[in-house]
Amino acid sequence: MRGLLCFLLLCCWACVAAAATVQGVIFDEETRNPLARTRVTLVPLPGNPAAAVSLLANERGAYVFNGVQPGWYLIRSARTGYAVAEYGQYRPGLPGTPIEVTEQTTGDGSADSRLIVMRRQAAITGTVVDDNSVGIAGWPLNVYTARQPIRRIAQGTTDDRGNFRVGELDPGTYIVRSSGGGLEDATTLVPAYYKYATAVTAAEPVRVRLGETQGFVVIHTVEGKLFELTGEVTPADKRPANITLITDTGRRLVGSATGPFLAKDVPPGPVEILVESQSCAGYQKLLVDRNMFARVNCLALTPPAVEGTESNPLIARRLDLDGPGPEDALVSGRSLSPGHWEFTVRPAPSEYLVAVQNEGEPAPDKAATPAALDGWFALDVGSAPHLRVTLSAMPASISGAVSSASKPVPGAPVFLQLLNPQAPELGLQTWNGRADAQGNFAFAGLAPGSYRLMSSFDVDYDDPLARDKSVVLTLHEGDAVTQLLDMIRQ
Amino acid sequence: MRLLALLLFSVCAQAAIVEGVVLDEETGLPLARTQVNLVPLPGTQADTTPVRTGPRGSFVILSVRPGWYLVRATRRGYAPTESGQLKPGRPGHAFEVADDRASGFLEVRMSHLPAITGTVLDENDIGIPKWTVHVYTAGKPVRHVAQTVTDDRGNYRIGELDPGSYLLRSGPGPLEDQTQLLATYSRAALELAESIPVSAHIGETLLNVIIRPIKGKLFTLSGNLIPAPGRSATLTLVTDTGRREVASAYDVAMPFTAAGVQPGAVELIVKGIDFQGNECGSYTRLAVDKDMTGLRVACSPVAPLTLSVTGGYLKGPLLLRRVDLDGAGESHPLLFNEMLIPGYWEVNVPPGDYYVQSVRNAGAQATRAGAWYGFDTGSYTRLTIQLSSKPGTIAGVVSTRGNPVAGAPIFLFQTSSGQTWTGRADPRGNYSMGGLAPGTYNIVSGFDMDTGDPSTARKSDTVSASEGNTTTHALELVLQ
Repeated sequence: MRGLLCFLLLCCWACVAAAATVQGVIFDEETRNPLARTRVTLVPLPGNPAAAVSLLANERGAYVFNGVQPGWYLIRSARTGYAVAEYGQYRPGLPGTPIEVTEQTTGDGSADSRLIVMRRQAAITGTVVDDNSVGIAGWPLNVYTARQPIRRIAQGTTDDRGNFRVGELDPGTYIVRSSGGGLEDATTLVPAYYKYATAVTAAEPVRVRLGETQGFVVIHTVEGKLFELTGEVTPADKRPANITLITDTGRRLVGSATGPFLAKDVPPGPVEILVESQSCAGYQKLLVDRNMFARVNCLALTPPAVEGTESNPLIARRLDLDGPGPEDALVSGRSLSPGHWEFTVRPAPSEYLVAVQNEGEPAPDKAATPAALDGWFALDVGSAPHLRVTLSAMPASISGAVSSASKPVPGAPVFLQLLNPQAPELGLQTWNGRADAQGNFAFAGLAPGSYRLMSSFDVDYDDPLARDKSVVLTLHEGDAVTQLLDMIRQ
Repeated sequence: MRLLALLLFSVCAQAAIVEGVVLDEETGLPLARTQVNLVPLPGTQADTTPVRTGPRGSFVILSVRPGWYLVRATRRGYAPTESGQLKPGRPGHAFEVADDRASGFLEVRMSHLPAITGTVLDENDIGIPKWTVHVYTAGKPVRHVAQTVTDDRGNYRIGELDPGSYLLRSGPGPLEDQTQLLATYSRAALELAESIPVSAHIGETLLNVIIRPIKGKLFTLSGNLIPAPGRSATLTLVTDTGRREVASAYDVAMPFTAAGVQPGAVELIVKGIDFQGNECGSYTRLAVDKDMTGLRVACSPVAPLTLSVTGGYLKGPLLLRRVDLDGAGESHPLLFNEMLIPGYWEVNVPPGDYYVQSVRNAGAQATRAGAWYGFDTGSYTRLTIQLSSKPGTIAGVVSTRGNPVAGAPIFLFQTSSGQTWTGRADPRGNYSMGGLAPGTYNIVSGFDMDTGDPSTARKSDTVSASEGNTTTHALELVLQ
């Protein structure tokens, strides 16, 4: 017994002796004030057996990780309203520099205090104005991604002066659009894009960068006709049901029981009607260009039959006109409301996802193969879906080493992008990886296709310089490609 | 046909046109779709005519009968405006419309209602995003009037406020690490007495009202909600920073827990249906200074309100509104056999050829605040309103340098209740303010009067009204 105790004590001593401390402070880039209660995560590099550890900075923005095992790590911080930051970034938005923790790392002096500077996410401000350039108070507006597929990702409402602010945006290009509705004198406004457009093709995109507030986005509203949509949900037995009208500027309840319903002030364009009750559900999509009548059948739902993915759950997200819903693993017995859904599977590295198809209702279009989009497969789902998942056991892989001046770069960031065959300048799916302590990297479970590969600490991946210097590889099923990468430097 | 044409001609010959434009004071831009009312002065035989401005902010009112009028414009987000105002928020000047003539082109310039902006800051001066900010009236009774949420930078803006003094206060809640913040007045005060009121003026945006929330302990309340057998009930928790539904129950008692409750006054309001299908409810007021367990709140039967009015006949429906810690609810006309859920209610008596001698509930005198009479009610409400059919009147002529002032604005203040009335003199400067309870009043006339300004009271005359009599009082127009 005494021997066992001595052994345990010895083990503990060995652990403590081998462990180190990593500490630092988180600051706001703009004010240089500390950011209290920021989530800080110590992320081990590939090859480091330690687990990621997370904590909240204290009220002075300071963080301390005790008992850190020697090895290579990234220090990453996350906070609402700020871009995710990493210690040692050349500038916000770029990948950080890993640190090597040794038994001597204590971080008790300023030299070892790891400061992380966080930059705000982007914001767009502007005004929704009437025909006299007077701001319209309390008017809803929407923000969409400018890149295909155009998706609504945020919304706002104007204040008493008609001004708006939509914050917490990722850097990128957006389209801003006012909603439709009625003014004081029953004048009706149709949805209008910044600056003067009613068609998306004439919309002026707004580009925002990290930390920036893009101002003066003035949307000039446009008078136009809004329509009435009457309809009936059958069977019209007045059972409690939520009847939701969805457009690309939002959604609203238009009825609370099956039977007749009425929706006023419907903007021209595509409209979805979703019916959900405890015992049935229904869906219809129509193109509104006049006052219309719609009949929606509320049908009993059957949980989807899923084939082909026994080991990995099928992940589903609903995609309505007003944007994607939350991602959720499809559990057995759970029904899907009819409508438009996207599906994916996160397979093991020994497989890749080939396709997800619906072989149930509505009848599949045999001629059309569902297209993968960011790894997601879009499908229309009816009352009795039958989802078939096809996985391939012959994925491609890429591995190699990153070096700079012929020396391996520990923890080098490696960026891999699946290219869109129709538009090679656009990526379909991206992976952000890291090299291990010896500069070696590996990506497995890849589908066939063309990929762009690069490594850099100080160049944006969508920078033309990076694009020119990156490596483009074409992978076939089962390929195992080895690629050496030179670190790109500005 | 000829007779009809003649008739039309004769009508048109007697009528005139009033036209003008409504503009934004700040930018000079025309304000389309603004509601414009042509309001006759006392003594002018015409009804109020409503129109809306056109797309370029202009308005035309045809067939206006001769007489004296005011043009009054209202629009969301702007202070109500009258033509000929000396300053925003002041009464406008009346004008005369003569036979068969245009009255000239009126320009009505509207100013935005006040707004308050600021930031809710943490201990490091970093804005706290998505944090609730409340606005209260600074004058008694202190009432919650608006709320908003900070943006991604911790900044807030609350617009469309009436001019006046306000208190700003952040709501309670937890931070990312579950540090609890107490509801805190600007700039950093827990107590109302230590709060710093801010004044908001028409057309102005008050900037940088900073609130630094103070850390402290929030409490948890728990207990049971007891509905009527076979019926449902809901429990709402109300504080002076808002309300939330904390439980609902059907048929049998349901345990409830409300976490994150700030210290101070809390109301627990139960609403539901009793076993007979009528409304039921209860009201519990607590002073929370610790976690509280074992609370029992039930949906108790409520008797229909009984109303007794003596001494006169009401000239319209009584208005009722519920007042909870988070402010006054919407008012509504009293319904026949209405059941009032227990709590604090206020009643407003319509004006008429009487005055209100007293309002009592179950014998207890109601508390007067301006035109509203407040009372606590339990499972029954027996409202007694004593009217007097012999009200007092204060009347006279408004003049300046011996000349009567047509359409002079009149401001009358009751010193005991703080109630304010406004009126207008007729084209010959005669005014009459009736339906008054006996007592002492302050009265003043002027085109540059601010009723919220204490100096206004100093410029006013003190007049007594007595039961059934008309007190004659000549007013000299106050010139600033």
